[in-house]
Amino acid sequence: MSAELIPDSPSGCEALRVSALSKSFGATRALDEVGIDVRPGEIHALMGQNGSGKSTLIKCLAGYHHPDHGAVAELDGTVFHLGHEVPDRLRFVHQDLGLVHELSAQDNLALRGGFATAFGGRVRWREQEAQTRQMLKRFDVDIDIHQPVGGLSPVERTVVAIAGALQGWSGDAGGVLVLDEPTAVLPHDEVERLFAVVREVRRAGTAVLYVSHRMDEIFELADRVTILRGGRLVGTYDISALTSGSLASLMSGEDVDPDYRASVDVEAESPVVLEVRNVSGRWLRGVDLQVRKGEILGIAGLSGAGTLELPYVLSGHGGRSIVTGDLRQPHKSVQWIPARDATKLDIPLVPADRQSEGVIAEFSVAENLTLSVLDRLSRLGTISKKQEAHVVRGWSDRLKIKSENFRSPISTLSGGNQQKVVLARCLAAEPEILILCEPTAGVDIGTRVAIYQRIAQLASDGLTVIVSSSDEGDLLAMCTRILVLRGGVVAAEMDGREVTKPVLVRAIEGD
Amino acid sequence: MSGTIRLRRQAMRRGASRSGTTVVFAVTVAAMALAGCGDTDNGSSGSSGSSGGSSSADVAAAQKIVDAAQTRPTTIIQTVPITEPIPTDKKLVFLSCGVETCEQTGELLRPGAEALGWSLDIVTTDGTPEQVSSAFSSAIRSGADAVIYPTADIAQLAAPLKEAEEKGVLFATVASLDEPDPNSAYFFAMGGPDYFGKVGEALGAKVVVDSGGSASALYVDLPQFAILTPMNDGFTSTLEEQCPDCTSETLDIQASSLGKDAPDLIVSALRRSPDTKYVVLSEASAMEPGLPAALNAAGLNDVKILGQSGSEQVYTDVQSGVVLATVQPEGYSYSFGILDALARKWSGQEVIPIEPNLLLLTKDNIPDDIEGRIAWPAVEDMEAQYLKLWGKS
Amino acid sequence: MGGNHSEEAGAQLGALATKKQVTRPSLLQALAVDKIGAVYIWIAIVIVFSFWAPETFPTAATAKQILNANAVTALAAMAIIIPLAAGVFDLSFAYTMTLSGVVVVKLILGGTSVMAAIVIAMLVAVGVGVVNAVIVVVAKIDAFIGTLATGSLILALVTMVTGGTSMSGAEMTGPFAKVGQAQVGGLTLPNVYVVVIAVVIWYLFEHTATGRRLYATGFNPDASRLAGVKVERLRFLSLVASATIAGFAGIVLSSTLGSGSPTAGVPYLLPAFAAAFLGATQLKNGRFNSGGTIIAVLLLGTGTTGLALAAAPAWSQSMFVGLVLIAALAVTGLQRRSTSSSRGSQSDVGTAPADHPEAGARSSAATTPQA
Repeated sequence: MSAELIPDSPSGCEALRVSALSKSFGATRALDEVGIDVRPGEIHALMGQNGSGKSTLIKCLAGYHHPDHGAVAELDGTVFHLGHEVPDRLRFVHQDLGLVHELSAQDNLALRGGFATAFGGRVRWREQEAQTRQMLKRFDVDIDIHQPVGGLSPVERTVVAIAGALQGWSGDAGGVLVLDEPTAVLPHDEVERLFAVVREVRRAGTAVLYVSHRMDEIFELADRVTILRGGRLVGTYDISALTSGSLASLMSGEDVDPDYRASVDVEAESPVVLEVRNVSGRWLRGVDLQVRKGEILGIAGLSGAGTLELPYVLSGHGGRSIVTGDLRQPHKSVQWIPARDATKLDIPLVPADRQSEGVIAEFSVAENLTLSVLDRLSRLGTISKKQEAHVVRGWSDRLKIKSENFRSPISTLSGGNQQKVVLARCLAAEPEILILCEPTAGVDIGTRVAIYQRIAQLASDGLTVIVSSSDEGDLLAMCTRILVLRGGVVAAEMDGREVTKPVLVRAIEGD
Repeated sequence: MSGTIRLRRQAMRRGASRSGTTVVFAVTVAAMALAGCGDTDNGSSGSSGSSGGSSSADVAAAQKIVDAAQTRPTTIIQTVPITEPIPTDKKLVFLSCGVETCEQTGELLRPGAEALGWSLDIVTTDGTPEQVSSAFSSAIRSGADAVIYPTADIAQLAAPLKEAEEKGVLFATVASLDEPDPNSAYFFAMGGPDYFGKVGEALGAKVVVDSGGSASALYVDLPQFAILTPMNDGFTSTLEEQCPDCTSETLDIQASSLGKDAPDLIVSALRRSPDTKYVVLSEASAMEPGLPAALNAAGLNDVKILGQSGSEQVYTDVQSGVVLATVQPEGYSYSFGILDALARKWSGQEVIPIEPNLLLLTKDNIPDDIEGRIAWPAVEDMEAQYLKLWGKS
Repeated sequence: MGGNHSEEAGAQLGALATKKQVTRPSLLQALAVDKIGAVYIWIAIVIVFSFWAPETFPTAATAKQILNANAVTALAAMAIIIPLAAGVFDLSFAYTMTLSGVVVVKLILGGTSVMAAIVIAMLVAVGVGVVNAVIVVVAKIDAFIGTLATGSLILALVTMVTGGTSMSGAEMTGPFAKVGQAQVGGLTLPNVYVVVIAVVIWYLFEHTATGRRLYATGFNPDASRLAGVKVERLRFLSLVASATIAGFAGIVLSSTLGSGSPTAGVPYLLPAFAAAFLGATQLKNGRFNSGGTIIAVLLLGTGTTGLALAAAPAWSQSMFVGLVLIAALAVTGLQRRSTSSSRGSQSDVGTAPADHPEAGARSSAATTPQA
């Protein structure tokens, strides 16, 4: 189906207008004659896959990159030199929020906007407090402004960041607030609160340029969407004119089924490969479950229900002092072992936070990949470089890891390929069971489907997979069976192939 | 993008870091040149050879000094007995300076103090002015009648000395540049600049005698310890007077080099002047460890070592001949001398200033009981003789 | 910045020509300034000193003097790069050196045979290492503070053993002196020890699974744990290893000094760390390694000796150390920054809830890297 391109509004009416924006890095053109226009008071989404140029665009706007010659930019009708200056009414909240976690909300806001001072630089604390509360009040959030922001919930932090970005807004309406992946670090249940905040910003007359991967958010929040692909502008569309399918296809350039569901078959009587008895920890309160060979078992639930703790406990990294309960692998031995010693079961885990728990940034691709199987590659303690190369090449082919030279640092790979290396590291040890946490965090629609297909393939080759995710799409797409945790126990069990999204969501939220 | 443009960008990037590298090289070289432009003449003193060869008169004069220094006297320097009764309920506090020699000197006070019926507390400090001052004040407050602290810098002790003045507490020190005033709290000191000058003389004379009147010497100084400077002066002026053919050069090293770089710095200095066959260490206990090994490794086996101060290690090397000679630290002279001065003060007699003994130890005259020794009493029965003077034997 | 860096990473990488025909040949790569910048500074220094002190500096005797004077420093630096690779600071090693030195001397002076005394002193050092390891790994006390604390305890032991003074005696010139003073072709034995230990460490880091795991532990203990690396065990063993090598260094030092001094090891604390960190920038792009450490030791040692031979004033020594460290790091870093700006830094959005309330639940053993 074709979507309709909204004709450009006449100059002078836009909050932000950019045209002919190009940016090259050497021979590679990251942006090619891209244009965008944001109407006053609208929520305008910017979408595109990895490699589409959307973060380059944001960086040019923020002055981090100098665009190539020829770019034209206007804010509220005033021309500005894109990349070299950032006008006052163009504000940014980046994904990392730019807050100092050890400082309070008041201090963080003052960091950006300055303190209310009297003669000699003495801070007028009461006035400062009043100002801070004022700024936060408009977003209807009730926080302790003196508590270090590290102790606030993620959405509260995001609100502080947004309030901070909007400080000292001269005049009333107009201007643009750029939000770059604001929901990437928010648990699913806090996203609605953020939406309220964004709508409030719009109500006050400021346009919002909203960058996100998540299609359902865009449909709920945005008025229009600009899509980039391969550094070029695909088009700007009214949201009402698109469906998730058409949006996905426009982003990836091919037909993509956003409601893909992998077809995985599990024999009814396949053996139980993992049994869990009365496992408790900090959030888990006595979980029992069984996993059969070849299943893709989903773990769902709200944050705090134990959905993130359970995979770590099963993998043996759950915090020895507080974990109780037993595990066993009945097809191997009838002996139960304490859950504390779960590392003995050798169940690898692909972590959610790739940065801090997945890749070792200083290591090469090969070193990252082989870390789990070093013993297999060494004889008499010495690593055979030849064997190492063989293993790395094998997995690179199998998972299609794109890298120039596997001895170069892993940071030279794209994020998706890095994730593949982490996966390869887990699979290289030839485990029976694999655990995935948030496998599609921050991944765009095209790659997402590829991930689902790959997992399904692995399962049909005999691997048993446990997936813990806060994204219902993951669970619906892949799982043969879904367990819903609530309050640290298994509250519901559903057939993964037959359940629908509304049913799943209801079960998670616990009606 | 055309290929030429790409290459130009690469060249620019390389050029940027290349010019960066050049800058850094240039800075390094410049800095070293700057260091070199500093005073490279480390106080080379001593006359260059003047007329004639060494006259034997020079060596004979030096020999006299050496003989005096190498002979252990049989009587103590102090001769005036104390006739008035010496009060016995006195409390002494000794503040140590954090270095082993200091501690040992404190202990040497004990037998004499006991004989006089006085109590002795030894308080450890780390030698920093803050700790010493505060220990001094605490001692006064705890009822000390006299406080003793070696190598004192009076300026740094102004505050506690004022307290001492007010409370009538006495203070004595050794090896300090500051003159005492017999009518004030700081009433007595031994081993001042004159004494160290004589130590330098003795070492200079030894070099003259040992070399037969023609030698090149390296004097290793610690400028941070100002009391050692008179020793340097004494050494170099002796060489000038008694040995016109002798030369000496001073190498200043920092206290931070002690125990690590000092041997290497000395070896380098010796390599700079290959004729130098004598090394004089102004503080042998700190500078000698590791030096024989370094000299050996560098093939400088004919260089002789002399010094001031001693330790078990230095004395072991003196005994075996690795070290030619060292002037022992006069802990015994100091201890008894201070006790003597306190006894005189408190009994109402006149306080007689005296010099410490000067004993140059060599292979031939060093006693056998080296183990654990920092020093010996210069007079073998020093304790007995002092007790007699005090009427306590 | 949020968003995706990887597409730019790829672009910039492409721009700097990763195509095979323009890749630098590997010998040239090995000699690149960003690999051995310190060596170039060293060559520059050698040239300058050769002009400055032409009679004495450019001789074989000088080379030997430099090697002999710095062998113990090199040993000390070798000791600490093992725990540093695992991300652990051992600040007690200088005191361990001192302790083993005074123990061996005290035993020998008391009549024990040299061999037995050395063995006992080494066992004492290993014991210190175990104590350190228990405090840092088992009791989970931060290594920096923990080893500072054990250093203090060791110092107390040293004072107990020595009574506060140096110990020496005629035995020091006997067979024990050979440990640190015997010569092989003009070079003292400690140089041989350095080479042997450096080769062993090189092999460990470069070619063994344990070495790989050590680096992994140091770079990212959380990821390593998930990959099955026994992080705690490696940290434990690394502290035992550093104390053992430090113990050996202390024995060698006391043999060189000819005495058991209660302050012998202390001056080696900073030079060893300086050499270890400078060494990490050489040869292996940020990984602690033995070859780079030796280069660093020699670079700093050449300066000390060269300045002394050139009769430079005393203050020039410290100035030299400071300037050379900055120069060597800057030269290495300059080049590296221009090549690595082409490599993307962080990868793209991939963070799921690091702020997830359950994030803290995983692995109470997953503490912050032991700094």
